[in-house]
Amino acid sequence: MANIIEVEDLRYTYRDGTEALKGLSLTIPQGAKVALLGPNGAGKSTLLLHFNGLNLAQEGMVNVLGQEVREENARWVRGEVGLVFQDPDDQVFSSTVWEDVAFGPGNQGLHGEELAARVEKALEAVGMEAFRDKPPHHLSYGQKKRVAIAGVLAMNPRVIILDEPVAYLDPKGKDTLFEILSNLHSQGTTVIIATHDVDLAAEWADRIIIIKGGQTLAQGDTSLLADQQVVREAELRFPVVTQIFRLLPELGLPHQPRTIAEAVGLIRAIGKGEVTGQGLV
Amino acid sequence: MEHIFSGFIKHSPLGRIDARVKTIVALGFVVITATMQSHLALLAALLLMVAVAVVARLSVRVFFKRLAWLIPFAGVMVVVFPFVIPGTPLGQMDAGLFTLTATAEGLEKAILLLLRVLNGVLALTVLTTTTKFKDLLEALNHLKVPTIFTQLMEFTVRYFFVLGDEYKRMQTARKARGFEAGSVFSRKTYQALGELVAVLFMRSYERGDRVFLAMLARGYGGHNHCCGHCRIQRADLYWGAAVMVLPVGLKILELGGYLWPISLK
Repeated sequence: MANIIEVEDLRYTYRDGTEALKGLSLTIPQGAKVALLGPNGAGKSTLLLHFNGLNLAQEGMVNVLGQEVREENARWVRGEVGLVFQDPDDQVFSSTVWEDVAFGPGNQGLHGEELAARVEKALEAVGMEAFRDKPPHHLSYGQKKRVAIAGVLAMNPRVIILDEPVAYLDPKGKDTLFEILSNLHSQGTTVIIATHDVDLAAEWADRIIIIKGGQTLAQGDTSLLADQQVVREAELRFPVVTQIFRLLPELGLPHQPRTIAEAVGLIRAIGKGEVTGQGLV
Repeated sequence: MEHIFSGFIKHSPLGRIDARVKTIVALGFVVITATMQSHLALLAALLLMVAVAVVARLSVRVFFKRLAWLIPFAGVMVVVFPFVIPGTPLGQMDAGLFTLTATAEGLEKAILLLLRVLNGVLALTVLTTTTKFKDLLEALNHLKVPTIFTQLMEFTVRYFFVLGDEYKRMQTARKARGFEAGSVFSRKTYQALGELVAVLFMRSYERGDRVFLAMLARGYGGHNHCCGHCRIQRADLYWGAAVMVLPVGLKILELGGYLWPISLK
């Protein structure tokens, strides 16, 4: 699969001298579900702003859909790569839900029926059609979050990035969010989430990118999350499922499970006597 | 958003009139009455606006609530004017240490100011209680008011509650650590309040940055894009003309120097 985003040796220093990114490289395949992990201050937020053309590479390169992101095409990139901010109050600013969702496509030059169709479709995707005329400050946190996502979806991006999407959401809100994301993914959108939640990353993602100190520590599939060396270096912890099975060395498993489904499969196998001290028979 | 301005009248007969026409009429009315000199003309204009307010089903309570906002400014002036403007003495008030003298000129100025304020507040209350906030902003945009002003209004209203919530959370957190606002003269209280305001300011500033970044992320380029708008109907214009006839007529008479009964200066 082709890579939709490629970052090569990216460096970025803030005006106060803080070096946020120190030669970071990564690739994001088209249609992937990516979890971007890393401790606080790893440079995650700075990196996300590069994907969307809000920060431009000081050194190195960011490629989106095969084109290098520069000042000239930054507006185009913002239509291709949608960025959902962590705090929906930062993003949802208009006086009604409808107008807020219309803000992005309006900036893309849409108007009239075309604009209305985009807005309706986006509101439908997040299940907020009934709230279209409500002022955002009357909504719950989870509802505001959905409006923020609709505001980005309405721009028809090929990649959608969410910064800490589950922070402060209640369990139901989380479920709704992931339903929305899996719908998007099944329609071909590449989804990237930046998160600290390793369980979520293990269950949901098909590609893991771990950054630390402004550089990529590791990228690959979810087995990275069960890799002792990577987890220690990244200041993460193992997914709960992995933690449980790590305490059972007598099973002699060649790989530690990471998701609930894997764990259930293993426990069934143990029940049938298919697992001995030498691992799976 | 209409809930911000408490007292929005649902199904007001004036709710159907085009917001642009209403805005122009209200602003025109305010400008004319604010420059009128004659008490009688001002009173006539006030009666007209009262009639409009009755048609609009504006409640007296809402009007006085709005008026109350002006007491610290205009209210104080109205009370003070009779005593500070020199002129023919009308009466004296013994206030213990010193004596206050009211003058006829001062009283006249005070009444003039009062009438102008009543006119202005009533006109703007009618406008804001019969127009949705969103429509009002759109009307201002159409009337070529610089976007910086309309955006300022929009953002103020949008973030009023966000900042209010933040303020409440900070206050609760202070209380949780045993802070109690002491007496008005306590230094500690002022220090704590000062810090609260400073932190709130910093947070608003930082939020402003984040909001702007989020706008850029959705392709914002510095100007608003207007959505579809409907045309002004003839009925709207008739209404506007009907309301404006009297104040404009009075103003013309005043400018024309007709020292006819209306100007009893």
